[in-house]
Amino acid sequence: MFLKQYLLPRLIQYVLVILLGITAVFFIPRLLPNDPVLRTIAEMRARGSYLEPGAMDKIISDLQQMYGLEGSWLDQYLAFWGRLFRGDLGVSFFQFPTPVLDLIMTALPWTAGLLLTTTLLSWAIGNLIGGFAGYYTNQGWSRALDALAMVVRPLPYYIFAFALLLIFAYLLRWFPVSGGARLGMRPSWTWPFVQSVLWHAVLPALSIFVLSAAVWFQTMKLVVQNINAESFVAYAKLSGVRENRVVSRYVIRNALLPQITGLGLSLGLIFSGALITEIVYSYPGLGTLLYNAIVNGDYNLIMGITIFSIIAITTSVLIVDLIYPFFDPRIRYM
Amino acid sequence: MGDAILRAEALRAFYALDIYGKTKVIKAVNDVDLAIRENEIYGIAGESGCGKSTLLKALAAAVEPPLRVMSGKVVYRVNGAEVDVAALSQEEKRQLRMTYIAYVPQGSMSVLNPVVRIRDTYRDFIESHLDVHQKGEAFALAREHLVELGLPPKILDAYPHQLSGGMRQRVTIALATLLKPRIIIGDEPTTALDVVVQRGVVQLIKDVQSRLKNTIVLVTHDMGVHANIADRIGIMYAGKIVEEAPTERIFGAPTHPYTRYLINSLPRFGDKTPRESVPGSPPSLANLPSGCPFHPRCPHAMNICKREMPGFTRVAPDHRVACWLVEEGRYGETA
Amino acid sequence: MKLFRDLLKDYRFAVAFWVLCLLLAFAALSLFSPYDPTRWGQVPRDVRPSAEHWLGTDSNGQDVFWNATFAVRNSLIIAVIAGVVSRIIAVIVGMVAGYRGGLWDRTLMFVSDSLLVIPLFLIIVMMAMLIRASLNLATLGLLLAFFGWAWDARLIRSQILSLRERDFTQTAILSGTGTLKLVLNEYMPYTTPLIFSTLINNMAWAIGLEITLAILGLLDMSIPTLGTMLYWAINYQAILLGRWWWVMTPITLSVMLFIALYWLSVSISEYLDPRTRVQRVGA
Repeated sequence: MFLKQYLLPRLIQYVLVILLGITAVFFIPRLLPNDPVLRTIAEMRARGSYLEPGAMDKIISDLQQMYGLEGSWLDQYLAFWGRLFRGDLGVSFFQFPTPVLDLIMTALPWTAGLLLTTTLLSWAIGNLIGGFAGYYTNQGWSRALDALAMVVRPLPYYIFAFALLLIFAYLLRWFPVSGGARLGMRPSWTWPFVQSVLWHAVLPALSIFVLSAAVWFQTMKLVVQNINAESFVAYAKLSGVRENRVVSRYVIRNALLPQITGLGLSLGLIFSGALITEIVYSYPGLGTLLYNAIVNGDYNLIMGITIFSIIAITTSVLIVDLIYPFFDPRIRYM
Repeated sequence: MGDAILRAEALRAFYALDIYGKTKVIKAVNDVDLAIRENEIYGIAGESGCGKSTLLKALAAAVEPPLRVMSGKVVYRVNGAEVDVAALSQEEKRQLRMTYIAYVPQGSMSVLNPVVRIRDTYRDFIESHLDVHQKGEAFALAREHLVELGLPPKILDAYPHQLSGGMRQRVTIALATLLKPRIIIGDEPTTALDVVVQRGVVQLIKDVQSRLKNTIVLVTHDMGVHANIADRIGIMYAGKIVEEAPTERIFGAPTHPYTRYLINSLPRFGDKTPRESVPGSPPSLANLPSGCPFHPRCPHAMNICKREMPGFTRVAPDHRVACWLVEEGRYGETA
Repeated sequence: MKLFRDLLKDYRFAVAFWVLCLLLAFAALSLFSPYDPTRWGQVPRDVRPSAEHWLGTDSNGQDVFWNATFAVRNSLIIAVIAGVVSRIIAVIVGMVAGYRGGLWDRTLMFVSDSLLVIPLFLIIVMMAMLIRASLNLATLGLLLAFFGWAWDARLIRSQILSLRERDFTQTAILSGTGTLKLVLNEYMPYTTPLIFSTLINNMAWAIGLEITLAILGLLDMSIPTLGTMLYWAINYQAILLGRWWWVMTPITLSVMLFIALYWLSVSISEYLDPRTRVQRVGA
C-alpha cells in the first residue's frame, strides 16, 4: 500500500526527470541557432590559432565526433546514452584531452564536502533556532533575530560571499582570499593539510551557512507559529504536559515535517548558490570548474557538469523523499 | 449534590485585538456568576459565538493573551479549601490539570499528536503528573481503564490517524478520567460525531460521572444532549448567563424569552406544527447592544431593557433568570 | 484604497515601497541622461566622484551615475518581462491543474516539479553560452520566464483546489456558469493578491539570475544592467585598484532592490494570510 502510493510514483518520477533533463541537455545545443562546432572554430580563431585550410575539414569532423554530432539525431541520441552508461562524458575541450569525468571527480570532493556540511548544519541549526523563535514569538530575542533575517535573507549568495571576502580576507586578513588549501600542498590525510583545508573552507562555508540558515529560520518560525495554534498543542497544554515536552515533541517534531519536504525542494537552489559562492572564493570545486569552462568556452565540460548535477541533485531529492516517511507515520501507515 | 466546587464571580474575560491600528475588544465573557457543585453534570447551552468556549477557557484557568481576565475571579475548591485561580503560579496550575480538573476537547481531526502513538501520548500525559515508580502502575491502570470504557487495549499501539472520530473522542475521555479528576470540562464533545457514536459517547460520560461521582461541565449547543445527561443547565447568551435551572425546569418551564425560543424550536414527536426559531442573528461580541443584549430580538422588549442589564431573579428554588419581565413582575404580559 | 493604507502601517511595506519609488525615480532619470549608455570613452576614465560626475566615472569612459540609471531601468525591465510572462504561464498552468484535476493535473505538476528539481541555473548557463550575443533585454526576460513559473504554479494550484471545494463554486456551476467565466470572474479576486506577491518574488529571482549570468560573462555586455556594470567593474579589477565607486554603485542598488522586493512580498503575504493578520496584542 505504502509502496504503491508513495514509493512507486516517486521512483517513476526520478527516472523520468533524469531522462527528460538529460534529453534537454542533449537537445539544447542542437536546437539553438548556433552550431557549436563553428563556434568552437570561431573561438579558436579569436584566440589567434592559425588553422591550415586543409586541416579545417579534419578539425570539423573531429569536433563533430567529439561533440557527438555525427549521424542523424537518433543516432546521436543513442550514442549519447551509450557513452553515458559507460561513464564517458566526453573530453574537455580546453584541457584537452582530459576526460570531463576526471575533471569533475577532482573537483567533486571539495564541493561535496562544502555542500553537505553547510546544508545539513544550516538546516539543523536554522530550524532549531527558528523553532524556539516561533514558539517564543513575542520575546525580544525572537523579534531581533527575525529582523536580522529580514535583511540577510534576500541577499544573493554572491553579494554576501563577496562582502565576507572583502571584510575578513582582504581587510582583516584573518582568512585566505582564495583556494581550497595552501598552494603547492599535496592532498593527504596529514594534519597540516587537513588544517589548511579547514581554514580555507571557513569563509565559503560561513557564507553559505548564514544565508541558508536565515531561510530555514524564517520558514520554521512561520511553521511553528501555525502549529502552535493547532488543537493538539492546546490539548496537551490543557492536560498539563510540561512545556519543554510540548515544545519538543508536539511543536518542533511536527514542524520538521514540512521542513524536510522543503529541504528536498530547495536542493537545486542551494546547489546553485554553492557553485556561485565557490566562484567568488576561487574554491576548487565544481563552481570554479564551471567558471573556467565558461571563460574558456569549454562546452563539453559545461555539458558534463550539467549532466552530473542533474543526476546528483535528483538522487539527493529522492533520498530526502525516502527519508520523510520515517518521520511521518501518516505516510508509513496509510 | 454537594457544595460548589467551581465558582465564577463577576467574571469578565475579553479579547483585545489590534488589527492594523484599530483596537477591537471582544467581550466574550461579560459578567458571569456561576456556582457548579460536586457530583453533578452542569450543562452550558447557547448558540455559536455566545462565548461558551471562552468561558470554558476561563474556568480551566487557561487564559492566554490576547484573552485577558478583566475583572472577577474563578475559584476552585481543592481538598476542601477555596483557591482563587489567579493566585496560582503556572506550575501549580499545571499540576492541577488532569489530577483535579481535566479537559475533553472537541474530537475533530487533530487533538492527538499525529506523529506519535496513542501510548506515547498517554506516556506524555501521565509522566507530567506522576512519579517514576508510579508510572508502571499508571500504565496498567490505563489499560484496564480502556477496557472498562469499552475500548480495545491495542488502541495504544495505533497512530491517531488510524482511529475513527468516535474512537479518538473516546480516547480523550479515557485520558480525561484517568487520574480521577474532581472536575471534567467538555467542550462540544459530541459535535462532529455521527448520531450513533454520539449516543455511545453520551452514555460513556454518564457512566463515568456515576462511577467517579465528580463534576462534569458540558458545553454544547445540542439541547438533546443536555436533556439526556445534564442535571442543571445554564443558558448563555452574548457572554452572559441569562437563565439557570435544573434540566426539567428548563425544558418544562423556560422563563427567559431566549430560552423559550430555544425550547420551542426543538422538534417533538407527533407535533407537526412549524417550529419557530429566534428572529434575527446573535450580536457581535465586539459591538454589544446597550442594556440587555437580547432586546433587539426580544418580542417583549420594554424601554428599561434597552437601558439597563437586568440582575438575577429567583423564580423557584434553584431557578434564576435575568430578565426585566420577571423582575418587574410583568411576566406573561405581551409587549 | 483601504488595502494600501493598511499595508502602509506595516513598516516593512512602507520602507520597501518608498525605496522602490526611489529606485523607479532613479530609473526614470535615464530618460534625461546627457550621455549615451552604449558608447564608450565619452568622459575621462576613472575619475573619482566629483561635482561634475556625481558617482565618478568608470574604466570604459562612462559616467557611473547616469550609467546606473540605465542599469536600474534595464534590470527592472528584464525583471518585469520575466515576471509578467511567467505569471501568465503560472496562472494558466495552476488554474488548469487545480480546476481540471486528473490527468491534466498530474502531467502539469510533473512538469512543474521537474523544473524545480533540475538545477535550472546550469541549464540557463548552457543556453546563455550559446546565444549570448543575442541575449538582449527581451530574450533574457523570456528565457527567465520560461523557467521561472514552476514554484508559483504549484501555489496557485493549491489555492484553486481549495476554492473549488467552496460552496460558491457549486452554486456557480449549478447556475450554469461556464468554466472560463467561473475561473475569471469568481476566482480572480482571490488569486490576484497571491499572483501579485509571487510576481514580486519572481522579479527578485530574475534580477538575481540576471546579475549572476552577467558576472559570468554570458550576456550582451554592451547593454547596461546592474549585472553588466558589475561584470565590467570586476573585469577591470576595480576593487584591487580602489575604484570603489564603480563597484559599490551596482552592489548598493541591487541590495536595495532585493531587500525592498523581499520586504514588499513578505508584508503582502502576511497581510493575505488570515492567521497573521490579527497580530499584535492590545492592552
